[in-house]
Amino acid sequence: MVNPKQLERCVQEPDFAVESLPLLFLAVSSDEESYQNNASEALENCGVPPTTAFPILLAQLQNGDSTQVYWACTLVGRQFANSTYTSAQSHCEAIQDHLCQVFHRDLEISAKERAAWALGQTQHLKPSSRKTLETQLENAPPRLQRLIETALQSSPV
Amino acid sequence: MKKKLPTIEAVSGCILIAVLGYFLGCEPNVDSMMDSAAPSTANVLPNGSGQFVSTRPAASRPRGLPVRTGQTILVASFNIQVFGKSKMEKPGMPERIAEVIRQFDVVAVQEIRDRSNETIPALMHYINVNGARYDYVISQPLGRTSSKEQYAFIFNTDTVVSGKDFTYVVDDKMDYLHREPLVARFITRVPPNYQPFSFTLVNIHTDPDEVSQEIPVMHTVLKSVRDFEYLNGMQDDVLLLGDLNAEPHQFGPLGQLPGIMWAIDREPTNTARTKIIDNILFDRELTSEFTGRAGVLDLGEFFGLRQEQVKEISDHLPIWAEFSIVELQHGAAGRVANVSERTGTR
Repeated sequence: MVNPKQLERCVQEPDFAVESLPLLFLAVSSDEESYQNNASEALENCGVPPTTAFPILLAQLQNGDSTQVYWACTLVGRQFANSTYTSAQSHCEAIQDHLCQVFHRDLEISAKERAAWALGQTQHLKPSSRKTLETQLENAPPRLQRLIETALQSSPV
Repeated sequence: MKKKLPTIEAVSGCILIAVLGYFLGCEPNVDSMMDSAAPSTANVLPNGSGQFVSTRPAASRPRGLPVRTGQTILVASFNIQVFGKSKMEKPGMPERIAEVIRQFDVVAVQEIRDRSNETIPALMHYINVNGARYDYVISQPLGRTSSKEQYAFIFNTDTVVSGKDFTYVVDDKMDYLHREPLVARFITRVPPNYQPFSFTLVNIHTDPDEVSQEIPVMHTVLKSVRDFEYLNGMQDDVLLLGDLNAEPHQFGPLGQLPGIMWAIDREPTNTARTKIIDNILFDRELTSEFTGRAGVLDLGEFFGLRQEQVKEISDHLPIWAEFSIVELQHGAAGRVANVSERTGTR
C-alpha cells in the first residue's frame, strides 16, 4: 500500500526517499497519478543510492515494468558514476548483466535508453556487456544509438 | 492552416534541432502582435521629455523586487515542483502561488504534472480573483516516462501580448532533450508612437541525470530559435530561461556564445539555497532592454515562512529579470543599473 504522506515526505526529503525505495518503486507504477508524479519527482531528486540498495534495484531490473526499470537503471547509473571502480567492482559486474538483460525484455525504448546510459556510467564494461551493446547498436533509433556509442567509447577495450 | 516551417541545422557536427512547433493558427507575425499591443489600460504615458510616467498607483515594493514604475516588465521563471491537483488542494497553496505569479509580467513555469489539464486553469482563477488579467499558454505533456511534465507561460495581458498563435515547441529531431523547450513570443503594451519591446522566451527544464548530454546542445537550441525567430519575425531578443539543472560554470558552449550573459550568477535558486540551477540567459548586446536588475525571490522572506514551509511550495525559488517596455537600439548605453543591483554577468 502506498502511503501518500510518506510519498510527499520523499519529495521534500531526499534522504528519506533513498530509505523508501520500495515505496517509490511501488508508487511510480501506480494507477494513481499523484503517486506516480510524486514518486517520479522523489526518484529524480533522491541522489545516489547506497550500495545496500542494489538488491532492490536488481529486483526492479529483473521484474519491473518499463517505468520501474527506467528508474532502476537511473539509480544504478548514478551509483556507477559516483563509485570508484574498486569499490563498486563486484556490484558493477553483476549488475551489468542485469542491465544487458533489459535490452532483451519487452520494454519501452526509454527503459532501454536508460540501461545504455547506465552502462555508460560504469566506464568498465565487461566484454559480454560490450558485445551486447554492439549488437544492439544495429538498427537502434538515433538516441539509443548515441547512448550506446557513448557507453562503448567511455570504457577502455 | 499549419505553416510548414524550415528545418534549421546546427553548425556543430551532426546536431540537428529543428524548430517545427505547433502554431495553432496563422504564422506568428510581429506586425499582427503589435496591432493588438495597444494599451488596454494606459499603464504608461509619454511626457514631454520622452520618458514614461506611470499611471499605476504607487505600489509597495515586495521584498527583493524592484519598484514597479510601469516603464519596465519583470520576466520570471519558476519551477513549481510537481505542480498538479495535489498541490492545488493544499490549504493556502494556490493563493500563495498566485501571489507569486502576480509579482511578474511573464512567468515561465516548469513541472506542471496534471493529465487532466485542470491545474493551470484553476490557478488562473486565483491569479485573477482580484481583477488582474493574466492569461497563459501551455505545452503538451513532455517527457520519457509515464509521469510527463508541461511547460507554461503565464502573462499579464495588461502589460504584454502573447497567445497560442505565437507559441511552439522546439522539434528535437535527434531526441537530445528530455523535455523539448516551449517557445513563445511576447510584445509589451506601450502608448502609441512608442516601439514595444518584443521578445521570445524559450522555456526549458533539463533532465538532471542527462545534464551532461543536454547542456552541450543548449547553445544550438538557443541559436536555432534565434535564427528562426529572426527569419520569421525579425525578432532578435531571444531569452532562454528555466531549470537548467546546471550551474553557470557548467554551461560549456552555451556560456561561450558571443555576447551571452546570465541573469543569476551569485544567488542560489533552490530552496535549500545551495545551487544556482535556474537562470535567464540572453545576448547582452542584442537585448539592451535589460535594466541590469535581476534576482531570486526569497519565498521565505516574501511570505514569512520557514524553509520547511517554502519546500512545500517548491524546491526552487522564482528567478526574475527586469526589461524596458520599449525596444531599445542594440548596445544602448545607460541601461545598466547600479552595479550593486546587478546580479550577474559572465
